[in-house]
Amino acid sequence: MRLSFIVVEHAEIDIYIVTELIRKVLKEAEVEVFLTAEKALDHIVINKVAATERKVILLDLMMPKMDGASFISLFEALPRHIRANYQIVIVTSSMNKTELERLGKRRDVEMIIEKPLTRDKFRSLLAKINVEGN
Amino acid sequence: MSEKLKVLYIDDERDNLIGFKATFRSEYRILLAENMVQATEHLEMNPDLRVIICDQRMPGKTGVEFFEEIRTRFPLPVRILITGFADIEAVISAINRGNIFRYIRKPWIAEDIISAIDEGSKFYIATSMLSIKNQELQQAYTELDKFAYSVSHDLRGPLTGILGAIDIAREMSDINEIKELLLLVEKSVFKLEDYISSMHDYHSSQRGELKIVDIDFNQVADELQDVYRIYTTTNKIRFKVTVNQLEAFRSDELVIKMILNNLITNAIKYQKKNFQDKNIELSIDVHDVMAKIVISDTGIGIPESHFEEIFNLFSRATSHRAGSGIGLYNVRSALLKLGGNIEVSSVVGEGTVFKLTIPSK
Repeated sequence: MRLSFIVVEHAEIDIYIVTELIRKVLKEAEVEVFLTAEKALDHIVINKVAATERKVILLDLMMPKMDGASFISLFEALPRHIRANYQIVIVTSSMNKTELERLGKRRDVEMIIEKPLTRDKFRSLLAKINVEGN
Repeated sequence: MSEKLKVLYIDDERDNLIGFKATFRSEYRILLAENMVQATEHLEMNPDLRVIICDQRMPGKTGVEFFEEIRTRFPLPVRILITGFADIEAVISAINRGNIFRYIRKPWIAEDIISAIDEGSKFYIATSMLSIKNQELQQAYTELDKFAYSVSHDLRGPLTGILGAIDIAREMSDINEIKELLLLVEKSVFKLEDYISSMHDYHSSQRGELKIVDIDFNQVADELQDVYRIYTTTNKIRFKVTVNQLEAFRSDELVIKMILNNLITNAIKYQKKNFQDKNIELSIDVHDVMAKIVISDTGIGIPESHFEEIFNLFSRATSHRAGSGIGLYNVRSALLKLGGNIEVSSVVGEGTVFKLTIPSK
């Protein structure tokens, strides 16, 4: 099964960190970066994913225009055959515990990682979605 | 001297009306009404009316009934009733229900009326101050909510980025990779620094006292050009400044500089990438105790739908550049404080023009 990542993030430094971590820890995985939630959503709707592919969405919450929470709501409204290949992992610096708790319970949200995203946290993410890293 | 306070007197007997006005016209601005219709008209026309005095015995409706009726529509003016001894029951219940502030017994003497009006006016001031303070407090709460969001987004965001960068740097051995990362760390630090200095501006534009001095705009312009030369040269932006000041101009120099700095920084920040002919023009014209300042740029522009919104706290018109959404808010509050104003016009993809007018103090 092929694993790939969709990064939805607008801060330059965070994009660098996340792509660097994926590159270093996984070697094989594919990464696509989207600066806005709208663009990521468009991509998900248009692109067909093979049944053998697994896609992890690393989603920032606080973004201008469409934020992470709205992204999740719109994603949930997509047809099942599209959603089936995706898992959402929230990566955020938000301190709003109530909102995070609420979002953590959403159907397609696999887990929440609090920034800073470190090697350890990234490895625990891989463990959670049953992928072995280096 | 400040304007006389407005008092409305309602009585169905013309002689009483004339007598009342004759007695108090030098102290107050007296408005007269023979019936409730006229009284309501006065209330509608004079939102600054402070005290209403009404006779209890009126044809159709008693004074107490009238007060009860207008209370929700015109809550601010203080209500005083004039009445004979016979109506005392009605008066007591009206006081207890909060419909009247005072009652004056007939036949009245001038001292009683004056004391009731003065007390009523004090009460009016206290109540209206309270409602103004309440509005300000509400506004402050709203800003605080937005601030809480902004702290995690604009302060914690760059910080966690830096921490993440440090973590991956530990496993890096290639010095070039580390240098690339340091560049990003530096950008995050600048973002934090920007944020802190705009918070400082925010605080001083909200709370600071004005320090009015003579301002020489030629000197201000020279300073600005010196400060921004390094940015404009490295970004290949032509920065043209013209000043036309033949008369004295008095205002707060730090506040004026803060305004100009914010607008110039924006003009630099929001230039189009890969555009050859980048321009920023600043013109300052002082004429008839008024400074007219125009800042225009050849930047990415602002959609018309955002013209109002950009001046709100923590609002941002664009998603792809750094910015905390405090700068233009500070600009507008500072201008309000100086008694000036700001207008924006812009064409997306072509550029933006900010026009400011600031009166000399």
